[in-house]
Amino acid sequence: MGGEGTGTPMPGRKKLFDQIALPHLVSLYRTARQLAGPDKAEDLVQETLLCAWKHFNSFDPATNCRAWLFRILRNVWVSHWRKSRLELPLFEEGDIQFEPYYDWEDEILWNEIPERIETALRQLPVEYRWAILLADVEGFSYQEISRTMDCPIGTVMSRLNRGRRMLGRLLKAQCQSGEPDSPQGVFSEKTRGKS
Amino acid sequence: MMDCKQIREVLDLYIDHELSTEAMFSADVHLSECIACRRALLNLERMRHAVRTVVSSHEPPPTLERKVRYKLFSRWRPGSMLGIAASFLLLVFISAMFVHQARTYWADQLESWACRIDKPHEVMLEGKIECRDCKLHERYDVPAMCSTKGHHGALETPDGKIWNFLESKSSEALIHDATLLGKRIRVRGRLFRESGDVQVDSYQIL
Repeated sequence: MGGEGTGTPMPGRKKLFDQIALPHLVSLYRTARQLAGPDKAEDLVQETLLCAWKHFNSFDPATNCRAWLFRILRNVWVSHWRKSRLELPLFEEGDIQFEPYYDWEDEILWNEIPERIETALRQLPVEYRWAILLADVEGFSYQEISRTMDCPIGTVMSRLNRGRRMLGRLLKAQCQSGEPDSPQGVFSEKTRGKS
Repeated sequence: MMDCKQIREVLDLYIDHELSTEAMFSADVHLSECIACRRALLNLERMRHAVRTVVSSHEPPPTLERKVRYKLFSRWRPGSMLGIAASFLLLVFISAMFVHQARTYWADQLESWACRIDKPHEVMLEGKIECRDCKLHERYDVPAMCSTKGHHGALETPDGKIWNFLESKSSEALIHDATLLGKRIRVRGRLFRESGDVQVDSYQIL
């Protein structure tokens, strides 16, 4: 790997990094904010870009820089930032079961939910949150999400499917009760983890 | 052709454009004919749009990019400055130790500085009476004439420096009495750093 260990990258590389990597700082920040919170998002982004700069000599400019940066973000987050493993494990073993849509979504008043979205996102299991952020906010393909999260495409599909269903239930519960609901209240039997 | 149950199961793949071409076509046909499934698709799109809007509304602080650029690209990062300073000091140390001219230069500089900051003043010194000429011979191989002219007493302080006694009644024994050689004494007098002399007012053999 190149970077600081083999001496300062040439000025051309610095300009290239400035042109193709730093413009993604905003994307990295908004994802980091959903994962580490507003207080720690800056640190996570700085650490990510520092790691990217150190390994920039090994990056092929012809490939997708944004996807590469998000892989680094994921790795940095996994290494240093993931919270304790007390979170219930996701029920992802065995056959992948998809939850079909039902008509209860009609009950959500869509023009009232934006302020409840962040509360609901925080209540999602973090791997579902990752999948939704990468797909719905950043627009990555399943293949790219699979590489970023280092999991099979089937797992990506499952996490997106269940994550969106769970998000919908959380939002529905908030709309009905008028306040953020507890995760346990909207977990179905299919998504409750095994202890 | 897909039915409602199948559409509802693949709605995520449909909205993410991850279905095969044939499956997308089949789904499009069903959605064009089924109001309920179209409504489900619309709700899913609305939820995705809401998530995107809310998450994207948070801009990074204006200082973040500047901080990142400084950490990545600053030529004068604290770490590199420390390294440069340490390398410089090491170079000076090595040159001082192993290059004769450099050693002489730095010794002269330090001596000059010491003389400037330490004007002649009253002192009390402790040390050992040693023969000045024998010490010069021992350290610098300068020929000593002690066998013909006798020993010449001087004060060696703990730092290894040899101070000459200015000739006076008080210092006569210290300079010429060979029986005092090797004895530890305490001297009260005045120190002349520039000439390396000490004027003895009184002394005490320890």
